[in-house]
Amino acid sequence: MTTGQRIRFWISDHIVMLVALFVLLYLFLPVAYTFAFSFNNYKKSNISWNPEGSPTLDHWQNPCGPAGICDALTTSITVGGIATLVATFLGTLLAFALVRYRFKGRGVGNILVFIPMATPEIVLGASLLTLFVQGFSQFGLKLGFWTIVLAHIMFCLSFVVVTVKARLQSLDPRLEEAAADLYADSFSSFWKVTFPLVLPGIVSAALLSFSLSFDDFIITNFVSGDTSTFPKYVYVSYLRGIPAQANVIGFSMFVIAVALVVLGQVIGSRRRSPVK
Amino acid sequence: MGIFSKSTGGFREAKGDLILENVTKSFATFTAVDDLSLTVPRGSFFALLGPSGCGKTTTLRMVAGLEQPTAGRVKIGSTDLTGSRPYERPVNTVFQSYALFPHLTVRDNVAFGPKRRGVADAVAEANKTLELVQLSHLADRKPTQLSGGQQQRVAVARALVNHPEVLLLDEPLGALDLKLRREMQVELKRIQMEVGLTFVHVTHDQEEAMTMADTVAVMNLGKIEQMGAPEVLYDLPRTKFVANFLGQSNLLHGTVQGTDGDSVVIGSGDHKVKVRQARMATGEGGEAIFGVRPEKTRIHDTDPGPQLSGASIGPGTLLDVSFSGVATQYLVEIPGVGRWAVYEQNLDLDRIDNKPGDQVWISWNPGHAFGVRS
Amino acid sequence: MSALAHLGSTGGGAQAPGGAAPEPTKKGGFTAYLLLLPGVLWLLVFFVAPMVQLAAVSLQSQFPGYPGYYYRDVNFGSYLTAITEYLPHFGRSLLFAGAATLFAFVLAYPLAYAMAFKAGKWRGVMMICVIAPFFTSFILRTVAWRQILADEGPIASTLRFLHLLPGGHITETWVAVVAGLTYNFLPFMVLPIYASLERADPKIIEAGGDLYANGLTTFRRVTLPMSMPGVLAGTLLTFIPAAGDYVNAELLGSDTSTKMVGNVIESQFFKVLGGFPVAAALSFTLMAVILALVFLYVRRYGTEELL
Repeated sequence: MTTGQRIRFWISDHIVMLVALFVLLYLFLPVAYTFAFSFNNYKKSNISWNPEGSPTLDHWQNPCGPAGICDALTTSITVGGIATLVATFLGTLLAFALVRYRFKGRGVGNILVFIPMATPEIVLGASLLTLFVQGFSQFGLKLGFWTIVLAHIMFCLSFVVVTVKARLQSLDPRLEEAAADLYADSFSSFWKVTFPLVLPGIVSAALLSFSLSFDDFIITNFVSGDTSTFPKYVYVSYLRGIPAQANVIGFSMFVIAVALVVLGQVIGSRRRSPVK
Repeated sequence: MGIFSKSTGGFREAKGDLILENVTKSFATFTAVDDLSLTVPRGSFFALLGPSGCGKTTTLRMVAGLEQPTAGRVKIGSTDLTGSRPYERPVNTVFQSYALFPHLTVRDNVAFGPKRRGVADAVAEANKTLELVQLSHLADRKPTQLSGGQQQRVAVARALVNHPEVLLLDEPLGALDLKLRREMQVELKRIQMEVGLTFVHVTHDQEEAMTMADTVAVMNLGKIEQMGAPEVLYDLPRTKFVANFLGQSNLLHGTVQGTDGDSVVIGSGDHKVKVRQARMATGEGGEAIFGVRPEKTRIHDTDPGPQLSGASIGPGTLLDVSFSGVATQYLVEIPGVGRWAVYEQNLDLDRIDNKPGDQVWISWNPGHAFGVRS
Repeated sequence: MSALAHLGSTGGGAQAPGGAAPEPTKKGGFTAYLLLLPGVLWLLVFFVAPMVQLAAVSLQSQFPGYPGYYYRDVNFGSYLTAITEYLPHFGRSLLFAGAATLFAFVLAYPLAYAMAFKAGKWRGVMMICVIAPFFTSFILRTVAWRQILADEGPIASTLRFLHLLPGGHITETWVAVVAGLTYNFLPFMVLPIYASLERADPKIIEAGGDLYANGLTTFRRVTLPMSMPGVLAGTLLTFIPAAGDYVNAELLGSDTSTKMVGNVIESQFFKVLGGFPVAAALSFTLMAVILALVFLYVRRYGTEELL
């Protein structure tokens, strides 16, 4: 085999992996940018790198410096928390009903859950805005924190249902039969077998909800009035120049989330590995 | 679902034979089990054998309480269990693919039943049963960390720990490879002898049914075709289905043409064969099927007819010879009858050297022939 | 978007054999309706009712002389305006979203394939790498692209130096908008494709390699059809949000020539006095067009697994 052939074979063996690594690099490029510019000693706007005094740790030492940025972050986390709790609870009930029971209107129920996911966010946002402004304002509901929460619960709900449904459907029905066979009545069969097995699905549905809610901009922008969330803060301040602290917070969220995912995987694989 | 309230259903103690009385199970489009009556003596190893879709698993599920019969009664001894829930019955199941709880350790899987019944020392009971199936050293693992054979034994332990009156086994060895399967057959038989419970074993593997069970019931289309000790079933099948499903049979479809002493003569075209009266499953006259097992026959290159009238057939054309060491298998096309097989042990030193295309005859001991309904 | 992971997850050890979803066996209207009630009520109040309200708004008329005040009406004028005046925006929305979906597919497939068949023990790490960038805010990353692609940035200056940039800019052009859309929705394409490839048996692909000498034929005849459910889901998950997006066009595009329907809807709602009916009509038309395209697409390639 000549060297040329060897190189050709190596490339054809590894080409897919090389392309894949290139795509991953593409995915990480803006994150790297965000990280780098969190150390930029910017003057008026954080658009170009200022070689004087950079890198600096100033922004990391004072992430709440710019007015309103940490209020926006707190709002995002609170909204995400409430929306996740409510959507996960309601969605889990819906998923159980849709997977476990035969009843009139099951098809309609499935479609009602599916359509919000197939609707562009801007349409959801626009429709909620018209309802809140023209419909609910008579009851004294003003655009703000609670309208954001109501809207977020709505769009998280469908994703929860889909996630929990998938987990429920992949559950071996024989496990519940085995529980019944082993003297578990329907109460203990549910709490000892079904629920623990569906729980990972519920947990990942909750994580999905939180991240969808935390990162949402389009719907939030329509229903938030004067209230600001973190994505909205960044978007609004874009025109004046985004403070480097936004990069600090954005990158920290990235680190925290990756750490949580890695931790989850480690715990998961430790549980699976043999016990000596 | 009743998930918010504990039901107070009572557990039913019952001892005695397992009795099915005229049990029928109909689904929307078909009848899975059709007017089935059956008594399984207490302490016996009973096998329900049949092809998939014959109703054997449905029968089992009705005994477990996982299905309710459309008609008929399920009893243990004098206690009627019809209509009771699975968790109210002194019956436990070893599921096909085991259905072990993946989130619980092996020990917790086994202790699941005793805990639900409020047994005082459920964990100690579980440990004792794990010893019986020789799995104590793996008690802290999760089921997914075990091999197929080990999972199977956990499934058996999880059912046995409850000391059920009847243990149901739903194709419990189906997922194992051949070697492990033979080992587990011996193991299950040992456990059954040791604990002395009634075992009802559902399988489509005839060899498995015959090696393990005291009594085999062959099921087809929701009905029991024939039931009895494995040797009896194999030696004297009473229906064409049993003759073909349990082992292999050479068959000749013909009509009853009369009697000769204590034998019945069955004819088809030029061929005439005889079956002892006692081994005929049909009455006088009409259509009948003659059968003989391939290993009970011998092959000849000349017509053995004159001495063996009614216990030979031919000539036919030899289609295939396959030598497998201990035996040789011949496949013969007999005009007007079909293909017959002959298994001959390689005992003779001067074996005849037949080749495909040769003309051959087949003979047998007249005592081995049988006649069945068509 | 952190728990996008679930799109690629394969459940635990409790899978039903064969993977087919069992049909529900429990009858029981009452319990089922009880479980459904709160969730369905929520969707009725916060999804169906807003849609009805949006439809009503799209048919309202202006009080003459009182901009920003409307009365209830059945006036299709707003739809006429929406379609005639903003046809180019519709065209751009569909075109940009279509292009972004196509590019996302081209980038996502090798990545998903490598994760499923080549990564070995690195599979988990690669999975985290796909999801990880999405923990940094969507807006922040898009702004980052604006800087990376800016005229004075490394990419634009290199291309200019090589005389490969006839217009002189990347930002403020449709190229930047499509690139941004592709980037933002890429994981939505990767994860479903990965999930369906991961379920496929690599032995089947090897067998395909045996049957068809040519790697490309194996891919076309064996690998691609096996991953079709994932491709279908990925396409919808990319196309639908991309077609409704306005953030990428706002942050990466120009003032006029790259605006999409989303931008018009946003500005009609927030910047144009009396723009509500037209914005509502635009929203409805956009939704109708997307649903129609999705329906045709699913009928052409689809399975019912989506529901």
